[in-house]
Amino acid sequence: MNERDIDLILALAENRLPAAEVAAAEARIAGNPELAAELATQRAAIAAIVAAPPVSLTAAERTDLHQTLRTELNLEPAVTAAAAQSAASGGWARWLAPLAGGLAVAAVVIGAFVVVPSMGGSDDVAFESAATTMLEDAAADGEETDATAAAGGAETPTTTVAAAAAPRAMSVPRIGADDLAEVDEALRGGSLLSLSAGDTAIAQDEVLACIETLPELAGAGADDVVAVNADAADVVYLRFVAGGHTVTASVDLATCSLLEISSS
Amino acid sequence: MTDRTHLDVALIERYLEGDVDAFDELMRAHEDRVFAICMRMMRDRDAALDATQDTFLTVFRKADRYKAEAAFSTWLYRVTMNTCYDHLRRQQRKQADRLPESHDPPDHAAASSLDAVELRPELEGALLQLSDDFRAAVVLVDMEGMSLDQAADTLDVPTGTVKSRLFRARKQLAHILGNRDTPSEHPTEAP
Repeated sequence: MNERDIDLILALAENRLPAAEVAAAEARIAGNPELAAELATQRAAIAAIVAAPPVSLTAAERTDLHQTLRTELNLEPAVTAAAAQSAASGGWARWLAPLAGGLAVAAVVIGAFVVVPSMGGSDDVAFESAATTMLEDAAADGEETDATAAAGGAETPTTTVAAAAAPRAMSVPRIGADDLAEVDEALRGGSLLSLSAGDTAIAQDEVLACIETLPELAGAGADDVVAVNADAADVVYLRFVAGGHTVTASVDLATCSLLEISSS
Repeated sequence: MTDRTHLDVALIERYLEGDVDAFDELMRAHEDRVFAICMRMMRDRDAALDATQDTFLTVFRKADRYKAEAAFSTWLYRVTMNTCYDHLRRQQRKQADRLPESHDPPDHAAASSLDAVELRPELEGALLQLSDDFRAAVVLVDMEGMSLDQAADTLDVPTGTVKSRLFRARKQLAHILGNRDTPSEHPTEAP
């Protein structure tokens, strides 16, 4: 068996031979028992190999891989520092510094709470939707502002390595009350303006991870966080719609526990 | 160049300019294939994860050295294979250090069957009995669907060498899997 024979066997086994040449090649191989046996061997091996199921990373492995690489490549210095500090203190360190565009965000958010109630107090879904949308838009604007600033005023609003130091964050108003009823009334009555003391960026992924462990908050997402307690920043307030009702709840992220919950 | 190649080149440029989103996109595009190659080259999942991580660390740390004349994927998979070879050599050194002289060689087929849950145990065992070079040819061409030329680029060897390794590797595999008679030739590599 020479090199040409091997090429021919490989081409046949891998179906790489042009269709017009297959018949002649098969005939040539069939006329030589040694070549025919080699072709059969190659085909048997290929059949066994290609039957192997695909391999892929699990979701947890993927997340770990990304996080490790980001840390090793210094793509997220603030996250690393915050995580280390959080591990030490277990509390405030998980909260990020207010975004550079915070005032603009607060204005938009407050605008949402002031304007939307005029649509009617019973229209909780519309309230929720509008507020959430504006929160998202405002948060996006804030991120963009940060990115541009970090890029040294570059015109392209791209997320830079420096800007990406912040984890996926959303900006929510801080409110100076720890009573859910008061907060709820403020939210409904549009008087958040008087309670607002700026805004705070929170780590969306962390909020989501906690919410998912609380069955009472089934149906809620990180985007449903509408405010943060200014005095105990681990406490977040959520409003979301579940089963046709608007649910308001407060959650202590430090312990990932439900503090209060009401439905209307 | 293919669309994927153009996209990868653009993403590398963006990454080098500091765009972290480009890092995420590159990872999403290539991480599963890199892991699959590592998983099939290494002896267990943890080792494959380590090799995958080291591969991407090398690639992103040396991204500025990437020359766009070659496909990014070729460069990436070459780094992947080199990383796997490095890890395999380290594994072998550790095993050699640990084992007494009279110790029998490990039965990879048995030892790996529990770890390699993604592959059929008998195939995994057979693959692990191949030399690293033979296994690399099978993994890249038969499992990852590379052409002979692509595999040759990735392994940095002539195409003829890949052909030779592939031919002999399959022959050994078929024998190990019980499909064929014992190979008549020693599994050494043709030049």
